[in-house]
Amino acid sequence: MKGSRLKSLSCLALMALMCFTMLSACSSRKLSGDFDEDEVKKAAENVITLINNQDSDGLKEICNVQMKEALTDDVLNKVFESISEGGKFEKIEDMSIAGMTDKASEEEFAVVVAKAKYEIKTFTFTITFTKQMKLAGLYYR
Amino acid sequence: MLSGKRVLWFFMGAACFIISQPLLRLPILQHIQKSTSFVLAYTLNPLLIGILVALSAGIFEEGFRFLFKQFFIKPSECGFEQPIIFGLGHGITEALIILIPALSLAPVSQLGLAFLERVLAIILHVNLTILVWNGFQKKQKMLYLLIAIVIHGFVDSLIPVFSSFPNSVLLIEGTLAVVDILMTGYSYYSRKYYVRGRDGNEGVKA
Repeated sequence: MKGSRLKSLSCLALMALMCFTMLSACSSRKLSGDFDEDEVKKAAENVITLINNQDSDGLKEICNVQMKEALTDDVLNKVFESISEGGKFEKIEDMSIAGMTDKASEEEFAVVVAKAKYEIKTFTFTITFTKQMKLAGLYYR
Repeated sequence: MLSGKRVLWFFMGAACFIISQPLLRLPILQHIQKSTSFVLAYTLNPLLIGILVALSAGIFEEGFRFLFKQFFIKPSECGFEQPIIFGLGHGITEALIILIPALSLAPVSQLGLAFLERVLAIILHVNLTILVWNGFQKKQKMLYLLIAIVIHGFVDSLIPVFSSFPNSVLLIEGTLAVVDILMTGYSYYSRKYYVRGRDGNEGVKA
């Protein structure tokens, strides 16, 4: 009887563990060989530095064509204003990198999610790069 | 009549929800959601991650229903009213936890759909409790637990699956209503697995 109870408990614990492990492990899509992980990491850190310095020109310089069109001065000012509400930048706490292929164009991208700690709040940036290391996507929350 | 045992089953159902969701699953999920690897996974596979999150609700809620029956509600064989009262305790507690904060944001007249959704959810909880209890009556506990987890996971998965559709609310609530009707039919059929004319603790072998 005790053995059967222990078995039931173990099964449930195992199911919960499997579910949460799968949730944590789903990001393991490797970067394509065209990307260098360290280079992607540094590029993402650079994007966050440019945002912290409110450097519109610097950001536009590293954007691909679509992002250049999307990141107007108005949009960038809103981004800078919102990030400055977080206070002084302190550090990047955590960063995860994975590869992604656009289904329509079959273009490969590197996607970085970085958790940046500021004096008042923490922002999570999702930054996308093309193979030429051009900024192709920027999202924060 | 409202006997002490029935009140106890109701509050055990309530405790089952509180332990499985606000005290365990939600803090674990919140912790995982803070990690950049989770955000990345969700960005790249929103549907898959949404379904896994839904499945985790099934594992925790059905798992704890199972554990309550296994360890705290004796004997295994019982009357049909036991899972109904336990399921009501579970579902009503969830409804109160969800609806009370909503009442401070919107008047009752605007919460009609929310109330309907909660009624459907309570019916589902009662039916899922009967399903888990059926495993104890038929001595196939793990099989019935697994089926309950899959059904719960399926129903919760309707949100990530249908949320991008234009008539998402109708699709989600409509499917939930269909699942409720099918499961209520099954529950009615499964009355025969239970001890008749007793409250479940009288004259049944321990």
